[in-house]
Amino acid sequence: MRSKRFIVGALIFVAFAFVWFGPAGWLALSSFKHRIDLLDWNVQLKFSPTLNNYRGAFAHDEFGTHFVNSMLVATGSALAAVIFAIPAAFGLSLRPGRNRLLFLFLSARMAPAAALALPLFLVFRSVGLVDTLLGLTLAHSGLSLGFAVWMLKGFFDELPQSFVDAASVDGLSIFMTIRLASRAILPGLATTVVFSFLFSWNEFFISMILTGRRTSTVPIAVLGLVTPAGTLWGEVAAIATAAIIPAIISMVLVRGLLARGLTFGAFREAEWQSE
Amino acid sequence: MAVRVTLERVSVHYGQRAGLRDLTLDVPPGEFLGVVGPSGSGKSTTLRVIAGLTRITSGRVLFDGREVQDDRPASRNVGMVFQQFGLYPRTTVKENILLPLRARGVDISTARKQVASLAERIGIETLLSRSVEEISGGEQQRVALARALIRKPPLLLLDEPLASLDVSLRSSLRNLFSELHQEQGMTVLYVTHDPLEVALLAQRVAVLEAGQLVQLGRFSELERQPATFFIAQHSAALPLNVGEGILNQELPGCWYLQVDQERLTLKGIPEGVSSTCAVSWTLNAHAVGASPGGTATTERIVSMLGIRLARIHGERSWWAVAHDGLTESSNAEISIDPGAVKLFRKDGTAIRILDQPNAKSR
Repeated sequence: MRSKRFIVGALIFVAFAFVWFGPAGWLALSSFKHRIDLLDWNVQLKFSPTLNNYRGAFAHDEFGTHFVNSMLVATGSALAAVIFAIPAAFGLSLRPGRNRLLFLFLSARMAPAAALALPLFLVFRSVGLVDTLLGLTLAHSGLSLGFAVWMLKGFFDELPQSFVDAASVDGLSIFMTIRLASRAILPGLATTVVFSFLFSWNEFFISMILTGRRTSTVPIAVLGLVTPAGTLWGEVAAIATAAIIPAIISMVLVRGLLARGLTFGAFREAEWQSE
Repeated sequence: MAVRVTLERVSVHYGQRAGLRDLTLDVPPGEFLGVVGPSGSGKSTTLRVIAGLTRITSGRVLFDGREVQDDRPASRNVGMVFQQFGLYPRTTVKENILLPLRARGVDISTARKQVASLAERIGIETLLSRSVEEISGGEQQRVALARALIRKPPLLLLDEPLASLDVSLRSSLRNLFSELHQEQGMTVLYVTHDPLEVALLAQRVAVLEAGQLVQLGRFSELERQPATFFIAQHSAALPLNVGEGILNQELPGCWYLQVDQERLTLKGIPEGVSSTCAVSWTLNAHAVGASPGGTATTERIVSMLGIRLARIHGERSWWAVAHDGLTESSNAEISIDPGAVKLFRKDGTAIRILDQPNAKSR
């Protein structure tokens, strides 16, 4: 009975894994195929592999530059968003009932990118931030801020009231209190950084509006492979495969951190009373 | 070093709900005051008001006669220990105790010396480099106490500090609180649910109900003459017999309490009662005797605080002092000292018995 259940469970798991990972696997395989094999619609698992697509992407299409741009913008914007979000989230957590303010923070993420793109472009152009990595980093960090505040507030809410009370009685400054509170929610902090990083890493529309050839990020670079002569599918597959690696690393990290972060509430109730 | 704490007609409102209502309380310097009361009675609110963590709606809070109700918590120089300890997570024990000193600009070498000395006194010197998550509940509470005492505050507020600890830890920490109070002489306000803790630690006890002070006095006074039904229930060291009965007047000036078929003639006149009325009553176990014979049954015999007590089942169940010769499952006869019965109105306030002449139990 138990083994039957196990087999059924395993089959369901394999089916889901195929649906989820099949396209990613197909993409990865495609990145090692010659152009002639790529255009063959029959699924071919046997083919002579090549690194030409990667060479093309890195050498001719400056994929390395775009990759570095993406890395700088995503890292910078994630860190900036979280640094600015910490005091805001802590303040909102201290003063419950300010959900309207929290909603205001989140509303930036709800608006379609197209609605934000033009105002952003006009403002950034007037201050000379268009086609700069700093400009894109600021834009992404602004877009991530609402989500970061919302997420961090959830973690700060888990801190026991006695934490804040003790800090007040002990005479700790607000900066010392926030520093201690941030240390207390470290897994939540790291998780928020990872999510903000992933948002920026994958963001397309605003990046397309605010960057030029020199400053474009990976998703924009892929667009450049759609040429009048046809789409360079091999290079597209190579870039997509390489670009997916940081995302996978981030997700693995986030999985571990979230597990630690979400058990934080239990720390208050169980660990503090453990004997 | 100790401070006189005075609350003058202090009220706290949370929206429509009153946390404290016109609370007036004076705690002399160096006193160990127990604060008890049912849940929601305003015990913790009282401590929070004194610490400056909760703003008052009206009234005055004075330290040595100086108004402090508008001062920030940090400037009141109060030490506070919370039920959930309030330690700073993901820090070491040493960091936790150091922080209040560092926040006041004490230089690091002096602060470290003070921490080492206090840690040794409190028995946590071997834990200083450990993370607060790695130590036990009892150790965490010692750390919280050390953190509260590191600034040598003239006032220590303890908000149910033992509530989440097991019995053996409670006992050792109780002793520690008592010793530290003796050594340092600070004023202490100690909130608890446990009557044993106040009986053992506190010089006086303040009882709060519905945000108001209903009785203030020594524990023995509370036990002897409780102002409310709650106090009677919570100031008894031995098990308490509790019930409802009818207060009746047999002859002018001769009142009795009808409990089931039992009629207890009072040794006086119930104050403010003019006619038959329903009342709640309490009787300490030591005012009830159980001897062999009779029709009731001895369910079990236990020993508490060196006294042999019997649980007797008759028309109702009684806790009584077991006379020699009474054994479990044997028949028992109950005798009651009517002078020890305490009466309470339906609203829980005590009915005083005035002028107690002879009385008898039938």
